[in-house]
Amino acid sequence: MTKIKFPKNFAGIDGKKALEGIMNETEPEPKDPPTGTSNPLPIPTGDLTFVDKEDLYKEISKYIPTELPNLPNPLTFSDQVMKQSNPYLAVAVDMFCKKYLPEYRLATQLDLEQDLAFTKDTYNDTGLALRSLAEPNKSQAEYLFNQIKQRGFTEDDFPFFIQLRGLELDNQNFNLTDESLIHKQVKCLKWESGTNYSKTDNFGLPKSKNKKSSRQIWTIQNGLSRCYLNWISNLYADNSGLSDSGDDGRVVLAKPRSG
Amino acid sequence: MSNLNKYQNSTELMKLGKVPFYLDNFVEACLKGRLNLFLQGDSGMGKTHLATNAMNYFPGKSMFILGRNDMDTRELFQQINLGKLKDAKSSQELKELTDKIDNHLLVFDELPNCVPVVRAQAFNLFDGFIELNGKTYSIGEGYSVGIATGNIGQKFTESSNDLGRALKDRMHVTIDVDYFKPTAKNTFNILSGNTSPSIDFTQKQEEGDLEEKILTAHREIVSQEIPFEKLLLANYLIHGLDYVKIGSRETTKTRLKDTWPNAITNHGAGSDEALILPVSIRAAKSIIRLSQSFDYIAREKGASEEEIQNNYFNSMMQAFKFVGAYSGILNDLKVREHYGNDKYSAMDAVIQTTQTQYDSQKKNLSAGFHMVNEGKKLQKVLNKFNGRWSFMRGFLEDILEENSLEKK
Repeated sequence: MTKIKFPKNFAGIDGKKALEGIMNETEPEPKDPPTGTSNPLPIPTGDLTFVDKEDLYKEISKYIPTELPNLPNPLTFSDQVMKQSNPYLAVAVDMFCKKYLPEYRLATQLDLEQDLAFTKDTYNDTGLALRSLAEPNKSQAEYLFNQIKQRGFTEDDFPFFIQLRGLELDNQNFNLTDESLIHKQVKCLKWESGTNYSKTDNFGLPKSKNKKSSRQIWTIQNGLSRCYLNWISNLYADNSGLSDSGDDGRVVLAKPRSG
Repeated sequence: MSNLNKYQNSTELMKLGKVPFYLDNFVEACLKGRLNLFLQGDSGMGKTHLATNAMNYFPGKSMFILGRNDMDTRELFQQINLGKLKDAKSSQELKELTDKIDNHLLVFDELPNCVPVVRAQAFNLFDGFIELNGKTYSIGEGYSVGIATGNIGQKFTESSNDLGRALKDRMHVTIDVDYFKPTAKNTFNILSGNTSPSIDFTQKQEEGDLEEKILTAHREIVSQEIPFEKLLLANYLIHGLDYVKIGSRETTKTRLKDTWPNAITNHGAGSDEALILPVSIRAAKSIIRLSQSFDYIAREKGASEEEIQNNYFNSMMQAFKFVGAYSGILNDLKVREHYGNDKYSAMDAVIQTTQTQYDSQKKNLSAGFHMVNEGKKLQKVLNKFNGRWSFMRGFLEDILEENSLEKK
């Protein structure tokens, strides 16, 4: 067996410099929680953040069974971060923030688009794609659309993108609130699955197709599905498993923008 | 322009840099790489024409056989001038008989029509040997390759189908010509010439050194050092595509066996985790060989060495597309649901994801290789390889250990 000698420059990248870059990477310094405030909860760090304080995770874990007793809670805390995500958990965490940690709210799709590197290697729920009143998730689709209709929208406005931030849960039903943001006639939600795109619109959703881009949106054509960015920043709008959750799921929090 | 002048189809299958590749270039690439090629598609789409044109490369050393369901092995052997096999009394006599078979190319039209035992012998002939009484005898003077055609739709990729399994095992590359119809200009030309719908076997085979050209190319391709980047990509296709996470459990699709893809119920169900299986080691070899052939042809067509090196990824991915699409690694249900039953579109989606994966890891890979060259084990670097790239962590650690043992 001959000794394997690797190239000094791989794919045009200087190995020495790349190695130095990794070794010089520093973990973000945690900010000290503000003292003397009325809010006793530990504050996460950064404009976009995961739940990276165990005490905060514990508070969320207490909140869910108390306020939403029927909601299965697979959240765990390891490697200094809260793991798992699905639309229900994301909304539950947003409800928690709204009540106890208003400095932060659930990150929107647009928030995530500002720093895609932050969420790399994780997946993050941000919305629901409502395309028709059929399966999958027919009953949840009807329940949501009955509320949407009251805002003057019709079936001609399908498909809808419903932002998770601002929704509220009641016995595992998604309820619109005054904060809820609904985007109608979102064409990309019915693009061919696997379509490539690069530019995004004001909601952080794919705006136009671009074959040259490596980013993809994955879709289905009917019913209600979740929308999440996956670990390589593709937008998955085809998963009907609303309560499915994985270890690489992260609920992302963002500082709400002013104005 | 390829030497297969008579076959007219200028629909592009792919591009390497600025170099376009057409169907006849694919045939040429398979011949130069010595890769068995299966051309499938509807009747009258030019499969047989394309295959018989390839016989021009080997004047006097190629053979055409039309598959029929009543053909037996005796008739097959008679067709390749081995009718005396049954009279041979010893292994030595058999060897003498088979040594005389100097065919380099066997074109087997409508192969799926044949019964399995004939197909099995045909596959052996493609690979350059005959199996008799449990012994194998070489034919083709060291170079032998096969092109088969058939019109069997999508069915043959089903795992339960014996023909599908056989084709997957023995044919290295499958092209569905229905996706690459001749252009309108081509068909105008074709129709304005000979209007006989039959294949013309009277066309004079071209003179010259075409045979030597293919054989020389083949020798050069197999003796070339395989670029490191291609080896890495092949490993990603074997190991990276195997990775799957179910809940908090990291496992492989190989271990999931028949429960893939149904076992993937979390977010991975919407990704390519549920769309494609990893390639086998055998398929990875075919991918590398086909990619090397593509590069060889691109070089012949005037691409510079720099352009070829810059296109290693593309070359490997195009080879992956045409080796993989009909090899049984795609989830047919998902291909039907999301890609209108177009396997090539599904492969394109996988390639896009692979491109993203690869781009996001290039820097880490370069750092990892430098780390090993320096003989250091740095956890911070190794930690960069997780998920689909976790195979790299083990690989780098193994090489580090091996290199350190050598030093001692």
